Amino acid sequence: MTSRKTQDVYMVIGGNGFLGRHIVQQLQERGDIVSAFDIVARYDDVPFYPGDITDQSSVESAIRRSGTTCIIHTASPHASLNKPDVFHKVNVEGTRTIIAAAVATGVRKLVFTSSAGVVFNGTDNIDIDERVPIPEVPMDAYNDTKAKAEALVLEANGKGGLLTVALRPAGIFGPGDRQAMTGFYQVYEGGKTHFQVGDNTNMFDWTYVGNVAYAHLLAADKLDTPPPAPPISSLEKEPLSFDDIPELTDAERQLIEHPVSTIDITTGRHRVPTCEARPLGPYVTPPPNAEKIAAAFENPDHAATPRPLVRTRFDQMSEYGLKREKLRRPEVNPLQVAGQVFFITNGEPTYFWDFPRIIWNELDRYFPGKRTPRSPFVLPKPVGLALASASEWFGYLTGREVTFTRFKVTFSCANRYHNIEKARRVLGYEPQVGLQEGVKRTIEWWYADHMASKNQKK
Amino acid sequence: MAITTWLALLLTHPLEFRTLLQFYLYHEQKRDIKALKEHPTSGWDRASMRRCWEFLDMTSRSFSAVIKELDGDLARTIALFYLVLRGLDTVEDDMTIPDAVKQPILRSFHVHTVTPGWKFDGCGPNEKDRQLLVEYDTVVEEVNLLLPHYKNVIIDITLKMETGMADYAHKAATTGTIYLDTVAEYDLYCHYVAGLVGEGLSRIFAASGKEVASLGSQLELSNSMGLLLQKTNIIRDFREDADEKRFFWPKEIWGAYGFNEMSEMHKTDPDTMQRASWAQSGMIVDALRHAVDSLDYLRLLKNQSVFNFCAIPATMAIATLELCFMNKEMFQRNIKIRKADAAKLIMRSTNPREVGLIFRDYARRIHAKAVPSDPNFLKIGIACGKIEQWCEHSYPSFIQILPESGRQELDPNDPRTRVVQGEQNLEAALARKRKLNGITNGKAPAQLELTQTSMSELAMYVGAAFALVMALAGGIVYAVMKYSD
Repeated sequence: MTSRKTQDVYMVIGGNGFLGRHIVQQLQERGDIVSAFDIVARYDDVPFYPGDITDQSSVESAIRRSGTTCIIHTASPHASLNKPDVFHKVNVEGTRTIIAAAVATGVRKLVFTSSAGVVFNGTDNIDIDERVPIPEVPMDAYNDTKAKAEALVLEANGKGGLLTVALRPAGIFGPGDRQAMTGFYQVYEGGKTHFQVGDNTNMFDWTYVGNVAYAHLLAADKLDTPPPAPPISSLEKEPLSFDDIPELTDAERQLIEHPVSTIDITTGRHRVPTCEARPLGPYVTPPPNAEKIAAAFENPDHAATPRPLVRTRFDQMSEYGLKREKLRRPEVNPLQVAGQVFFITNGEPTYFWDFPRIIWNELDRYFPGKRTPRSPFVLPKPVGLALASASEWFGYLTGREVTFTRFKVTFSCANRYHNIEKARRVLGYEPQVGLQEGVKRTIEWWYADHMASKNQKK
Repeated sequence: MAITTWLALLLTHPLEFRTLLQFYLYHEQKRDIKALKEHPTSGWDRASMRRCWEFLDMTSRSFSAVIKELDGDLARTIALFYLVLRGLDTVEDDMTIPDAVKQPILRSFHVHTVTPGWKFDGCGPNEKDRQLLVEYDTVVEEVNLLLPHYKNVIIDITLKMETGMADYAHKAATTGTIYLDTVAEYDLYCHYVAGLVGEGLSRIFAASGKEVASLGSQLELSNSMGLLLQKTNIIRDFREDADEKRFFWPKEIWGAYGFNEMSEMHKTDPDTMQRASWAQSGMIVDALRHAVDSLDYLRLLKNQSVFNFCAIPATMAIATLELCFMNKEMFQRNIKIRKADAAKLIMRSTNPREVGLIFRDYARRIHAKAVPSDPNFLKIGIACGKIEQWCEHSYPSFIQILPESGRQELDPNDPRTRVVQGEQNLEAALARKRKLNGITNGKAPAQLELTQTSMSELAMYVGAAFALVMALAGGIVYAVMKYSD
């Protein structure tokens, strides 16, 4: 860190939660000053400020006492709570309060944890990017309130000296997760891992929690990076057509044209050898330029062999797409961090049922012999929906909680994967932990936690 | 193909019979290299070139028909390139030639290829293509007639290739190690024997002017094409190679499953077969790594015959990988995709969108056979997912082509359609604003402005319509008939 730039003091709202805790730990690991704001105390390694995010005075008090310059707001009720009024109070009013408190106390930065679910309404989300609008009819109350909160955050950007950004992680999992893992374990415990709804050709994005935390730190660091070109609202004459927009600047071109290779953190990283860049291998006589050839192969920058970038007009990173985006939101440059949303995933979408199966496979290592191998029992989607309807009716009539719902069937059969090119180019985000490694770490943690709570009961 | 074979096919595989019959009836050859008007580029008027075409038919049953379809002098050039590399490969393959004899021939093969009168009769009697070397002076004669910018590429690639082959052969002969240890070593070997072919072909395409000049410098993409094809063959040819004591699978992959020797994978007890399947799966994950690069390469091509030439082996490769995946038969005997499937692939491999869909279909078939207890299970899913992403990112599925009218339509249920609609609405709002500004300034809008507005709207609709690559199916004939003999 250069002396020019003052180091931020961080406050993680929801710092004792699943994601918040990982953010706190990563900030500590890199030597930053961080405090946690939450409802209840849980850890004693960072300053803790108890409070209610809908109470502006308690938020302001905590900000002042901690000297916070950057807020990372992760606080959110569990999505499974199913209480719209709580969602609205915490997600919408709470976020509004935080924004007001930040402005009142001179906080410079706000990073908000939104959700990829804000753009999901039951139909397929196939390779979608951040331009996809919020659906007019929300999927549920949780995502509706997250979308409203996100809109508040973006609206607040640049006002009162505050810079804001919203991140939309998809399918967060990892150590500390008690939502997804609980469901997976229940299926495992109940011996129902062989059931499958749908044909498993739909793809889903999961994201290891450490990568989500890392994305938050990147966003915080880059919030005050100047845009690669001034927003078109600053032009003397307001552009009213595509042709009025200035050509892309060199800085903009650099951002959209530098090569980004495919993400291969799980499938294995190997460079393809070429006659100009390869290992020397066994040789009797070294080739001319031997050292140059070997050095080029070891060079992590692939600038030596630029790859062609072929973009369609539907690509948001194309020149055409960027100009469209400038017209849509004139006050923000589409390649800046502030005032933007970013999808954050592992960049490794895979077929829906693969992920739970990997989880169950990993659990087998801790509970050997518990599962008898069985072939998948596949329910086509229409059958699944019919059974789910029957299940919901039965639950309604008997007053019992329903676990097999139409939402879950829809969820299991839909494509939900995202194009994270914007996060990679503008934030510089790359997943640090692959899915396979992430699952291993998750089960390792989960087993220790499971055994600890089991021992407490004795 | 004999009439009895056709009848047998009709009775046992009626759907395949139908496909092959359609192929035979409707796929017609576009180019006749024997025709008088083709002589200036095909060289058919020279006895030496005719003999070279015969050698091509003899040594490349599956591919000579596709080579002959290439435009202009590309066909002859690529045919000769093929024969030169086949000659080199024949020397390298021959295990009866002692290393002391083999090394100098390999290392000077690029010189021999331009030395008039050079030939070699030292190959073993059972070497399949030895006749090519016995008459290699014929190839030399024709190579020397090539234009310099083609000839130089062929010689340069031959030099690099022969050096790599000789170095690996020397290592095997002197150290006694018969295995490739690491994936990096495996990649390098494949680069020498196949990646360089991809580089050479790309440079020849670029030199011909039928493809853009920058194609020749896309080294990682052209190498990925070569590596995808070579790795597929190495995986499929496991048994055939093992019988000849040749081993190309890297120990880094198969050694992870408890094998000390590759020959151990032949056994048929349940435990060995399972572990061999994991090794097989690991090899296929590694090969799939090149799929997206290969698709990127194909997307750069403009000339139809060049596209067909490159796309057909690629789709054959992905189909072969699917055939090999979780296939225990592969360890016992040579396996091949069925002729009807090959015919279907040849007829479909005409544009990059279609090739992407073929890759995706086979990726889904691979994935459907994946076993959760396989240590590579998640890698398989992710590798297939990359192909899915490539297809959607390059040719988004929310743009649908109505088969009746050929008109394009946007899927109303896809969220991406709402992005396009939002842009259209924005453009309309801005157009209204421009008109309002015109009136507010106290002057009537000029006729030119109206024209500009119309053109702007037209451009917007054209942009929204998105130009898909809709190349008409090129003709390719007799390739599958060659498979049938």
